[in-house]
Amino acid sequence: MSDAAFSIRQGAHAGEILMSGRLDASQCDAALAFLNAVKQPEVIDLAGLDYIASAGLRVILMTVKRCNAQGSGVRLINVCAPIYDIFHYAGFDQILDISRAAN
Amino acid sequence: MNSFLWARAPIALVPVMLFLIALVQGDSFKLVRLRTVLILLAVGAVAAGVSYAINAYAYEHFAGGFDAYSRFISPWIEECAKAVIMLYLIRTRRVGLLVDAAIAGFAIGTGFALVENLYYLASRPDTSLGVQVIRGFGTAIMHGGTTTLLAILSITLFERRPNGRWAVLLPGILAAVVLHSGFNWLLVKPALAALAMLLVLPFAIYLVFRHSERTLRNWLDADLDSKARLLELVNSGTFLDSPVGRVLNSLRDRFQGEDLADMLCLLRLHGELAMRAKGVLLLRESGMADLPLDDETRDKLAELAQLERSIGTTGMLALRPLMMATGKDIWQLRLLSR
Repeated sequence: MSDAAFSIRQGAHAGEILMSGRLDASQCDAALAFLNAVKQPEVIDLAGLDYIASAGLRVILMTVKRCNAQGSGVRLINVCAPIYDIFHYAGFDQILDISRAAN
Repeated sequence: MNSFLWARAPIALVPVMLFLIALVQGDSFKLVRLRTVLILLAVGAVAAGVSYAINAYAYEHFAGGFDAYSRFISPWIEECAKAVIMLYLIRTRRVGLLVDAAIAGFAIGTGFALVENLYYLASRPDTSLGVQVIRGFGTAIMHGGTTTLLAILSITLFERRPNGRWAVLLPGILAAVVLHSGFNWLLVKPALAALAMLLVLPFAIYLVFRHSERTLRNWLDADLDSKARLLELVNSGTFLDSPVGRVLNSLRDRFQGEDLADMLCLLRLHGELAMRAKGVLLLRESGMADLPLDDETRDKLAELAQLERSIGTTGMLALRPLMMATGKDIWQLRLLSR
């Protein structure tokens, strides 16, 4: 697991968001503020994310809740195996549209 | 119920009910459901009935006057009646954190106070409005507060000693009785007693609440992390090279191979279920609906119970340092099966 700094940015199109590094408690406010500023997030690409803490899961859940309330959905894509396992063990794979990164 | 009672009852009942509602609403993790609160109110009311019967009998055989009885005897009877319910909730892991213990405690105390105040109103219709205000703001809040204090102290001790029996309740009962008795002493100046309760208890409970939520968030972070690491080690096949794996390996002299295999399975399963429970807490905190208990989780809970039986008490004791089985760790699995 690398110790890359957390980064969140816009992807190729308006609804695409790219996350990388470590999403821990210290980064959550910034991450949530960024996500809230995106009117209608469609895809969150977690390919570069190598760590997520419970505070990070909270950010994802709050974004999903907002999108669900808007009637749109948000997909989590390219989730690496260790982080996918966290979503799975927490039971979130049952309510989130989530797909693993290709090996 | 006559019209007098209808008119006066809200004064005696509403303040404590509002405080209870504020506590339930203030819990970000929604640990105590409305149904549970209603049940606890009812059970608290039953405790008031039981206390009334015991008090009636004890007072008849008490040599001293009413003041002495209300300061030295009735607080013990009433706080013990409420403590029995709290003990049941703690021992069966129906509460496991300061927040849910505090809400449960206040709900029990509120149920108790509702019956006591209604009885008081019905049996003394000539009581002045001032006394009823004092009963509503003072006595009722006091009953909620003493049981909350009992709950907070007991759950804190239980967290440190998950297998503790009655002993974990004693400091809480003592503190509740002292507070209750102190309130009854102050009743020579009832307005002062009510004011003291109103100023001190709600504020103290609010502070405990905030502290508990912070602690819960820190625990969520730390434990989610450690369980994720444990599962990563087990799944990658490198568990036995880790510090925890080496501790498990060191048990070879005392346990047979199949027992050690069961222990490893149990560690893994416990880690998976602990993460699932944290998922439930995170969903509630985010205001999302709970996931229904799926077959996979139900099977895992059944398998965990089976493994615990197979490993036996000695094996479980040997595993305890590896599982960090504090009161919270045990409680969170109960959260899943509710």
